[in-house]
Amino acid sequence: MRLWQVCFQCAGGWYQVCLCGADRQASREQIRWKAAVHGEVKATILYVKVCLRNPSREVELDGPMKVGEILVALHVNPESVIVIRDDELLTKEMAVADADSIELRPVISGGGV
Amino acid sequence: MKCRVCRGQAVIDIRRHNAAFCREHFFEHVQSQVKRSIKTFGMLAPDDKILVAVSGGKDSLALWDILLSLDYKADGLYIGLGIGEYSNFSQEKAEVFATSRGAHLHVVNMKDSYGYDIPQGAVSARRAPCGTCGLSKRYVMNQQACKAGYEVIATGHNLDDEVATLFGNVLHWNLDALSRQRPVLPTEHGFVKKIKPLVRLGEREMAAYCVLRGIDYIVEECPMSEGNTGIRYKEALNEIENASPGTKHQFFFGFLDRGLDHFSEQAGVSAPELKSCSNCGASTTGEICAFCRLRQMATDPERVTVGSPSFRPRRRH
Repeated sequence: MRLWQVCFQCAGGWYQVCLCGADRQASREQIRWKAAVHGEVKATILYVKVCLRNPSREVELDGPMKVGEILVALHVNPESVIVIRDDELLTKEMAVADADSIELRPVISGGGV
Repeated sequence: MKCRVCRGQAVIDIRRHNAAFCREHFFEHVQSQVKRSIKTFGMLAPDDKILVAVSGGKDSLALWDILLSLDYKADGLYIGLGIGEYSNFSQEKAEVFATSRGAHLHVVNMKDSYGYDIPQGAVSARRAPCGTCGLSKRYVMNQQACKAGYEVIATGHNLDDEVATLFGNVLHWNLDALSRQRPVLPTEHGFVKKIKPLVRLGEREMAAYCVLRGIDYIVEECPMSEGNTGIRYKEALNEIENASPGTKHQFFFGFLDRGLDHFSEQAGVSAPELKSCSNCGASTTGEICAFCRLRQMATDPERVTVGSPSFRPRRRH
């Protein structure tokens, strides 16, 4: 599920809201509609950022997800990586939230994910 | 997931042991596995002077860290292979680690000391870079250990390395290599004793150990190892391990328990006679050892005798 962090400019100021419920399903069209009603809208979609190595790249996934689910989604063998968030190791049942960044670090010498 | 020992939050699960550990008990687990290898295979005496072959990667730095934490007298040897930025980064990692632990690191640069580097050697000898690198490192490690009076060379080969090597040797029925694949190679024929204390630990455990201990290692792999057969074997073996945890351990330790003696007996019957290399004096089966021949090819190709039987001699793993 994507978390939409939306800023509305109206009544002379910026208002930031995290949309939930039905609004969490908001499409780009809805955001455009809100912009038409409320004026300028800045919207940021928060993802789980996953850093992969060899070659270095980044993919974004909809959170929250468990580590094990992320590995399955990316077709990564859990025997071939360690999962790191802020210098801490994550086990496969741990949850990763939107806006979290994690690294899947290959452990095979010379291998990549 | 709970720590098997204290029931606290686990940081790593090790499926082949059907266990998970918190940070503190994971360190204990790693140390206990290394101690067990040292004891089971008679790797070290308490006062042995050890030279750890350090590449700047996770396994060698972790090994050095573990041996120091177990109060062994362990110095490091870094061999500069001349592989561009990769060598510069890996040397930096090794030096930073040595400084942080107050340990002594020997640095030998292939180009400066032996007149060639790995890319040059591989092209000149028309060998795979990994083969050229392995041959060069084995020779240099032994020579440096002899020169500086070390009794033991310790390398960071872990369970995954040994299993991949065994797998390759079985796939090709390389009986000679099978007869010599063991965690300890004793002092003989001018070769310093060589040990692999990490054989009970997998690559994933070593990477986790480095992260948890704050050891900064080179994650990017050697640019010349692309397409390496060993990596493909490891990937295939990890698929099997994921479906059936413990397979790698059973394969390797089952071989040591029930297969090695069979191959060693056969090899003993047909072992070729060893001579001294006419150039450097190292043990070899031919006139000139493989390293000297490689070096000649890389530095003075016109002097090389093509087709020498010593080009691919018996090798100690």
